This record gives sequence, structure tokens and C-alpha cells, in this order.
Amino acid sequence: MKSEFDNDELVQRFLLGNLSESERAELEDRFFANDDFFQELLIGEDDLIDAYVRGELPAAEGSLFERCCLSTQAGRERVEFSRALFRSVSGDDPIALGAMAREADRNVAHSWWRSLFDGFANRRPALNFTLAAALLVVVLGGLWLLANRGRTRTAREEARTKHAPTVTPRDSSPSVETAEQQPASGDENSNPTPPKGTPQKPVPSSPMIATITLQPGMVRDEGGAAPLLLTGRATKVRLQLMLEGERYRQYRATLSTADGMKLWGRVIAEGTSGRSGSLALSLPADLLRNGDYVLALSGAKSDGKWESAADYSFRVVRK
Amino acid sequence: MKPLPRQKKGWDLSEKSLAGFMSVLDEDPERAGERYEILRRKLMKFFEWRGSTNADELADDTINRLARKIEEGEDIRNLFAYSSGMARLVWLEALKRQERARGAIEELHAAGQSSAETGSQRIECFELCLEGLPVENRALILDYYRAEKSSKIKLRKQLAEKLGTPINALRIRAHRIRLQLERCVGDCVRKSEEA
Repeated sequence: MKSEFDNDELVQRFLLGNLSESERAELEDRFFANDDFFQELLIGEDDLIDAYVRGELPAAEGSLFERCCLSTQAGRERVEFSRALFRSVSGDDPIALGAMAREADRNVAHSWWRSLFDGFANRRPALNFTLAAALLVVVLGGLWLLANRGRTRTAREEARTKHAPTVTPRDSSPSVETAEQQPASGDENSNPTPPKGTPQKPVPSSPMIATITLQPGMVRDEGGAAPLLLTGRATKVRLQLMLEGERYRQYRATLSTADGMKLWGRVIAEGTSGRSGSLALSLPADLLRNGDYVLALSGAKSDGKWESAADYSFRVVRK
Repeated sequence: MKPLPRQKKGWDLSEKSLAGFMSVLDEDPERAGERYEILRRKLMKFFEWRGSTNADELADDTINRLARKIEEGEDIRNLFAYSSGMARLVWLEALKRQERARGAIEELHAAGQSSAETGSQRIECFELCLEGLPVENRALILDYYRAEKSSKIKLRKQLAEKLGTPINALRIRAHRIRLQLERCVGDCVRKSEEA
């Protein structure tokens, strides 16, 4: 294989569609004949996508990239993947921090957040918002540091001792094939449907997120709570809460069973949803059993006080 | 290369033509299966890089035509080299059938707005799939992609030295882990949307 950066410019021009037809055909012939060069192109494609996502491409190349690589669904998905990757590796990203906070939710006793909310309720209203924001920053920052330190330490220990790799011990945890299980040459990223008779690779399992969109006021006396069908494979539940009426810059969601037992809580800012006029919440699927649930949404007024914004009901049916 | 005849109507990949095709790839069936996957992947990327929106269909069409040529007795010494010519022909025909990439940018903007919700789900899927990686691979991919443009080359070389592996081997390894992760995320998003 050529050295690391020998083909960079050529590869980039090829991928951006910036070669003459004869140059392009020559390069295509080369990658068909040479698995190593094909590999170079695949890696170059990763680098190009990453450079675009990070805003490192000059304007002209950026425009070419959008023309060539964002005109297909596959291309757009690859860009979205790269965005997710960089959100994850940049430790100060709010989305990554949010994910760690969600992870931490699983381990936090209900009484903890309950007492926290109760504590806020008893303080002077003017301090509520500031304290909540400050506490959130401290908690998320601490979680990030702990998670990052633990992850790095664990990885080093694993690498040093060469133990068999371990995965978070969760039944529904996704599994991903290890790189070492892949073929040695340029087909490692293929996902073809080989004809009958050709060997098939095991398909890696993936996590599953069950999603339900809830309208405010979905209660049983209005035709039944919205059903949420959960299979054992679901690892997370995503609630898309449609908003009506007054908007708030901050919301508090509290999930309770039908008989009023509080299970879960979250303070969220509008804008965490991808859809205008709605909020998205994720919670661990294993929190929910068969039965009816109520999600109470409160909004923070300008004086920091919480007021009821909407209630959402849904019924969990596990299959 | 002389022009290929138009595809015969109703011609399907039979077991016999497939067997002939596979034997040209390699005499050993297992190795032939591997070579088949590599060839199909190359064909898919060929069409994808040309801007096709249905690269997998065109790749399959190309393989069918190659198999038919072999069945008809064409003496193909190097199937991979022959394939690029055949793929180019398939692409030219496909171009005639489709108006390529019209309004792609407008479509992008529309898709960007409508897929914001999916984007949020993709991030959650990403996190779950990342958790599912063996810790060593997870650490590697996070370290490898953490570096930004100015320090990328230097930091990746340092990482390679730390792991005691040549830089090219590290690049390939990171790429493979990334692709596995990408596949896991794609499956997760699709399953979640179907649910």
C-alpha cells in the first residue's frame, strides 16, 4: 500500500467528482484491480466526510461535496453518522453530556431526584432557576469526568492484560462485530446479499428505540391512552411530546404510574427536540412495565416557578 | 471492448450461471464467496461514487451481466478488470434512464429539516452501538477520531506508536471499527423507525 498521504489529493478529487472522465476511469480501473487502493479510497472517503462535518473543507470543496455526496440517502446518512461520532468524541458537547446524564438516570435512586425537586420547591423562587442550572452543570460535568476517566482506564487495562473484550452487561445491549472478525482485504465494509451458496457473515444485532408521539391530554376518558407496544428488544423509549399553548424555555417532565407513583424525572430545554413544537425525551425501556402511565410536563415561568404545561397519558403493552 | 448486447428479456441468474461466475472468481468456493463480496462492494462504491441513488441494484445488474457473459462463453481472464468496463456500461445506460441528481441540494435542505428527528434518534443509536463495542475498540475509535485537522497526523502517529502498530494498519483498523459502528447505527435507526 502506498504511504499514508500519497494519494490524498487524488483521492479527494476523485471523491468530489473533480477529475476528467479519463482520469476517473483510470482510477476506477485501479481500484477494481487493487484491493489496497480500494481501501485507500474508503478511508479517504471517511476523512472527506469528517472534514466536511468539522467545517475543514474550503468553500469550493464544500460545495463539491454537497453536490456529489449529499445527493443520495446513503451519503446523507454517512454525514449524520460522522456528526454523531464527533459529538461523541468532543467531550464538551451538550448532546453527549445529555446521553451520560440519561445513562446516570438508570442508576439514580428515585428518592434522589424526588428530594431534589422537593428541595427546589421549598426554596425562594428567584433562586430556583439559577440553582437548577448550576447543579445541572456540576452534575453533568462530574458525570462526564467520571465516565471519561473510567472508560480510558478500563480500555488501558483491557489492552494491557489482553483479556477478552467485555461489553456492558445488559441483555439488550447492542453488539458490534469486532474489526478483527472482518476479512483482510477491501471488502470489510461490504454488506452485500451474496447469492445462494455463498458464505454469509453473521449480522450484528443492534439496539432498538421504541418511539411514540403523544398529544397533550391523551387520557383514558377520551378514547383510551395511546398504546406503546414494547418488545423485549427495545432498549430505550423515546417520547415525542407535542406542545400546545404557552411555550417555556425550560420544562420539567415527571413520569408516574397511573396510581401516582413517580418513576422518573428530567429537566429539559425546548430545542432538544428535532421537531418544532415538540419535545423529545428518552428513557430506559426497562423502566416500563405493562400498565398506564402519566407524563406531567411543567414549564418554567420567567420568575423561575414551575407551572403545569400539559399531561400526557400512554399505556405500555409488552409483547 | 466491443459493445455488449442488450440484456435479454427474462434472463435470470440461474444456478448454473452463478456457479460459472463463482468459479471464475476462485476455484475454492469459500474464497470465491469472499471475492464475490469484494467485487460487489467495489461495484456498489463505483456507482455510489458516480452519484447513483440505486447503487445496489446497478451492482446486481452488473453481476448478472457478467455471469451471463461467462455463461455465453466469453473468455474473461481478469474478472475484476473486466468488471469496471461492464460497470461503466451499466452506468451509461442508467444515466439515460434517470435524470441524475436534479434538485439534489433542494432535496437535501428538505431532507435535513424532516430528518432532524431521525438525527436525534441516530445519536441515541450511536451511543448504544458505541457501548456495544469491545472496550478496546471503543477507546481506539474515540482516540482516533478525536484529533482535529491541525493535530490529526501527529496525534494519530502517536496513537499508532502507543499501540505498537504501523500507521496504515491503524487507519485500516479504525476504518473497520467505524464501518461496523455505522452499520449497527443504520440498523438501529431503521428498526426504531419501523417500531
